[in-house]
Amino acid sequence: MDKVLESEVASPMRSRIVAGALCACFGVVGVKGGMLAAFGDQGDPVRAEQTSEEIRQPFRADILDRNGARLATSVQVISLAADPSAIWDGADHARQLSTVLTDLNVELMAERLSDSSRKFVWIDRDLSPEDRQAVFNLGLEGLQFVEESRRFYPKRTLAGHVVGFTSIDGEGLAGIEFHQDHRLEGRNEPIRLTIDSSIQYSLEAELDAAAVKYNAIGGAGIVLEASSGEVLAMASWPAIDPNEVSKTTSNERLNRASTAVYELGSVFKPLTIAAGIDLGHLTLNETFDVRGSMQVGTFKIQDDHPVPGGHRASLTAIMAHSSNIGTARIGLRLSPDEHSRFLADLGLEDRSPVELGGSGRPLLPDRWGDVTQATVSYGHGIAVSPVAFASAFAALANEGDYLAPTLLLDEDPLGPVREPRRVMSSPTAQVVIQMMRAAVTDGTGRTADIPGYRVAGKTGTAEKPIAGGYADDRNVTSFAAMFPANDPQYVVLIVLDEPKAPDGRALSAAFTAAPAAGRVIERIAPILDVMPYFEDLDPVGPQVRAVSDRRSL
Amino acid sequence: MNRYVFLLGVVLTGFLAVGMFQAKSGAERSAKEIDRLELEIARVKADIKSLEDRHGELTNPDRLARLAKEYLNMGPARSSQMVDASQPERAFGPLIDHGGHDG
Repeated sequence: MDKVLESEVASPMRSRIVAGALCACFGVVGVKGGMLAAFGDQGDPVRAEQTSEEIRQPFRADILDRNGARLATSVQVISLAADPSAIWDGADHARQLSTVLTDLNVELMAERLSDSSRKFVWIDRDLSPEDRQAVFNLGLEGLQFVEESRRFYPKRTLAGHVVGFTSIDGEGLAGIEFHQDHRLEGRNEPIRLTIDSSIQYSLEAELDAAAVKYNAIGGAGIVLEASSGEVLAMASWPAIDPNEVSKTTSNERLNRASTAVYELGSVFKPLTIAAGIDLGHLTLNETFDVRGSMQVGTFKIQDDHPVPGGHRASLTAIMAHSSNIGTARIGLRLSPDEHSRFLADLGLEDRSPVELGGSGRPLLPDRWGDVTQATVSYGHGIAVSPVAFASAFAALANEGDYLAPTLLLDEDPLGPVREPRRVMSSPTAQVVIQMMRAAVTDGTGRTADIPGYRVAGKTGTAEKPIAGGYADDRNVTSFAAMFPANDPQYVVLIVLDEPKAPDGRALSAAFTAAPAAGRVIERIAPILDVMPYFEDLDPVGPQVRAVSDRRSL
Repeated sequence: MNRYVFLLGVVLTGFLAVGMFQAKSGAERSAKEIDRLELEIARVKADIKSLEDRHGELTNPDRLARLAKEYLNMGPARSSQMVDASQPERAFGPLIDHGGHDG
């Protein structure tokens, strides 16, 4: 005991050192514990970087159709870049790379790689795995593989013009990709469109079939839901594949449904008659003189075919047999201001507000006089985009209310409500629809009459404007339809640019756009749960069970 | 007395050091496991996305229509092939009236 005490007394310094060390240890442990308690584990920065690298998400949001089918997405690809400042012989690099990357411009690349003031040069984007391995095997210095996000369109040409495309750097250049660039860029929340892929395909298939059959130089088609203004399908022919947009021409990239404007001809007649009735300038049992020709100023108006049944024609006969004279007489009863305002209320005097870049600006008369009013009444002297016309026409199906067309599905129940605009009364719209039903059952639109679906519609055949007049050998044909006529829910518009017979003769809408619209309706009605209703009840027997259809797809 | 306190301190320090080491090791193991799981989730998500892209290609209506035509000889339904539920007579002929014949 004495010894111990003696040692303690002998080395007080040692005890202090040990005590100090113990305090330091406790101090370190205490501080670390306190930091852990207060801030948690900050983790290893290197490890965190690796993790975020692995779980990096695509930088551009997907575009979906209304049912969630993916129309545009982003995929990770590998691209090749170089740091010229780290390359000894740029020309040799370029030569060696050209043995693998056969499309490489050797001279240009040699020049770029020899510029040692540069730190970064793209060599090739979106390499195939084989090319990547081959470049790797070259073992050249100063090269780097860069992981990038690239846009991919899994449905290829389907809705190609609507979806649009991006630049190689992911910047929206056309269609929804352009218009909604701010919502797509750097986000993961997808944009859902009103497009239905099945309806879109049906429309594109029939538009393609008609355009090819009639040697058209272009075409457009639209399917709208009348009560909501939602565009269920929008097609432009020829179609484009956004995955290979660099292989397309500017003519192919033109969206003829929204960017192009056409004089659509007689499909305007239902609007003129609706204006006349709704503004009180017509009575329903009135008849009009449709003989011979009609002189308005220096302009002579005539009908392609005389209206059957005599010199005077009812409103229904004017509609059914597409009388220019009868419609011009109706148009002239409107004041210029009334006529212009009615078309403006239907959205035909402005660009369509549909969410696509470059919506076509309508070509309107410089001034409204008698000649203008007469010609505009049957769709000449005014050029509008097909989507603008389809939404104006849909007002008839929507009991007189105009709704702006939209491609964006509103998924927010608390979002702003799209207010319809009252353009005409519901009875006016119903009367005009009955007249258009007559045009399909007994008039120029008979080729669009699909049994059971009660199609109502109007043909339009317009000669194309040329310098100093109109070309009588080049037509724009159209058919605007709605179905079912007793309760119209959907609008279909088909436009064909310069459809021709095999002998080169210009064809009319009755032989081109109308049957195409009918075929579209026959295909999409079952998808839309519109069942055919037959006035006659003759059993169709075994046809009901038939599932095959030998018609060419 | 001082010696016992000293020994107790050493023992306690030893326990604390070992405990801290074990806690830190456990935390590191957990962090690594979380990282591994996050990576696995990211890879599975990437796989799902890749499969969805492929599914999108395979379900392209144009491709399905070609396959339906080639293998099943099927095409778009005609209106004559459709029957409204309110018009069964159209498919099956006049309905047989059993009323008033029982007993």
